[in-house]
Amino acid sequence: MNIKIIEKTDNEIRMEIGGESHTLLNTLKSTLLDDPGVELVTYDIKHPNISEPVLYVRTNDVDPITAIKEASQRLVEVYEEFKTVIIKETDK
Amino acid sequence: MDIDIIELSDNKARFIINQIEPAIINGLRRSMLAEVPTMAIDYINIYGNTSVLFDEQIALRVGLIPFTTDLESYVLPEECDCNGEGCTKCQVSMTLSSKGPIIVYSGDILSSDPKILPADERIPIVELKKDEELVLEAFAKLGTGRKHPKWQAGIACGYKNLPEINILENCDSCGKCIGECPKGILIMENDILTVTDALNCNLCNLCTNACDIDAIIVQGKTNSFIFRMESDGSYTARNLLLEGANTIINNAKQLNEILTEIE
Repeated sequence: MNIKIIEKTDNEIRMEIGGESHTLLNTLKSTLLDDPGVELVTYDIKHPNISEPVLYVRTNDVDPITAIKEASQRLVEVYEEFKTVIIKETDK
Repeated sequence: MDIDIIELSDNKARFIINQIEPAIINGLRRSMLAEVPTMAIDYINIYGNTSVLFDEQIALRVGLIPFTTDLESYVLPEECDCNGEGCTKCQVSMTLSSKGPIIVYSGDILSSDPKILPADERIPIVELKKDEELVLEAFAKLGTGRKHPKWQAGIACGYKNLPEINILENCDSCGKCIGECPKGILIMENDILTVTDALNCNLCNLCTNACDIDAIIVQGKTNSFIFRMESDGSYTARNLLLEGANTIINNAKQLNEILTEIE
């Protein structure tokens, strides 16, 4: 994963997440939007074969990097919960 | 989040999952299709081929055979210490030697690692006639479905919103909707319209269109899904679900670490 920060202000960030696709970006977008401190999230993959996804986040007052870090942490928790439930249900 | 398993076998699973965001379940589907690494033959040396197929066709057919995968013993070639040149940590050597008349099956491939075996032993590769022979050496590597479909672990992965069919009290039992339903899940029981298997409904709304008095309402339940998936045999269905989740967990953790370093 190659991360390139294109633009950053106190409440905005635009960064390129190299080597990733909709799989991570769309789930991350959805979890970021659950955060009340986050105003706007969007990402764009200009060309499906040759472009890297660019994530844009705008927040109310929190630091955008912190918001993304917290969202990725929540993403881990959601999938960990999914794993626990699957293990519990299949081992019956 | 709660899961209700309807069907589970070695390579097939069907379950209802409640209280989950659509993006999360879609991430899981995408991950199982394109991001979970599996073993497939990626490099081949053909020493003898007098069969009716060209070398290229043999290579393609051998490449598409799914192999059982052990993620603990192997790493992706691009992440390996050998920089993808090929070593015992990132590739498995296999041999195949057959002389006709015989049908060569995937089970005839001899692997150097007993954990990495063809997922199905009865996949035909080529039919050899008298005196024809096929001798080859192959190397299987880990890869992901995004690069080539031969590394695609999940097949037929998909989900739909959990159907909810409500028959209102003003239903006059005219029975028009019964003939319209392509799945045949509506029946008339003692002059009362009944739903037999709501899970089978494909939310096509043909029954609501056929009803003149709007007495039947069909809608998908938000944040509840019926998930259906099959595995190509590289993993069991259960392990593939877990690996699909693991792939996203690893990516999210990696993102978190990199951002911590930047700060």
